[in-house]
Amino acid sequence: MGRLPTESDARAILVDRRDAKRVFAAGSGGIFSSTDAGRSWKTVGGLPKKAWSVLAQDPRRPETSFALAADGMLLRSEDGGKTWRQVR
Amino acid sequence: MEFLGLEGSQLRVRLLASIAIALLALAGTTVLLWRGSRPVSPTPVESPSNRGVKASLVVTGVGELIKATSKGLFRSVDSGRTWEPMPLPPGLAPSGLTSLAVDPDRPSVIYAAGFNAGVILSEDGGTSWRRVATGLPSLDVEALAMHAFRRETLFVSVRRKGVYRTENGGRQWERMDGGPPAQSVLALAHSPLEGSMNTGWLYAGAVDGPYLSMDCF
Repeated sequence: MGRLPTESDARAILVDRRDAKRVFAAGSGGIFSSTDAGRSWKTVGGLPKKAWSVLAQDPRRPETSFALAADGMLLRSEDGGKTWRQVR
Repeated sequence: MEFLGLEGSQLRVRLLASIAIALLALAGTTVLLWRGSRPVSPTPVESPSNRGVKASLVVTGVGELIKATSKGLFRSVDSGRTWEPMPLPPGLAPSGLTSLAVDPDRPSVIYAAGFNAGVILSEDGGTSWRRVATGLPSLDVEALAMHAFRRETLFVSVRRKGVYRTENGGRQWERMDGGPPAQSVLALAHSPLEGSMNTGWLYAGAVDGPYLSMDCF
């Protein structure tokens, strides 16, 4: 496993149902993505700086994913995790 | 895969590790190796600061969201805009559940787990629950994950006891190993990535980053 780009715990790990090489991790340092099964990681940019606790993927529409922060903020991505918007 | 492209010293290390595993397997113990993102400390360290932020969120096969937080279990039918509380099993505190897993093919099947809760199963969409913890050494379950495509196979990490697997929907759990060499396991995820001699691999989230099992699940 490669190191996360920012020192962080990994409170959640999500393996993309469409491509198992695509993996997401979330924690106090942000949300991170990997396209090589965890050998290397990139920080998902543009997100509020907070601790992210949970990642989930819609099994019916796997391009849709959710990220839940420790403070309750919920984000949704509809493009496979590239961009995220807050659910209001 | 990095761990499959072995050469030279790596190959020798893996060979020695395989021999050690075979010997231990013969002795009746299954030991799994984990590759993490940090140097591994041989001594488990308490990490109580992470216990207060545990939560879980899953999307069911019909698009509903279910989340477990310190305030209880909640369901959303509008993609997370509004949430309705779900009944908790009798005797379980609202903060008692920290991990969820759902069967994508059977939306009414929900697994939940947590400290002092073990693993509980609902087959009616969360209306009623029953404990499915036979074989687990304690009820302090840190993390729960469903196999990528075998819906009756799940994995849990039991605090200080290691990783356990069920292949029959929780009726019986069997010990897999001592757990990843981490302070505590915050999350588990099964991967069907090719290259496994079994059906996949297991990721573990820890306080020092993600780990990947080098053995097959």
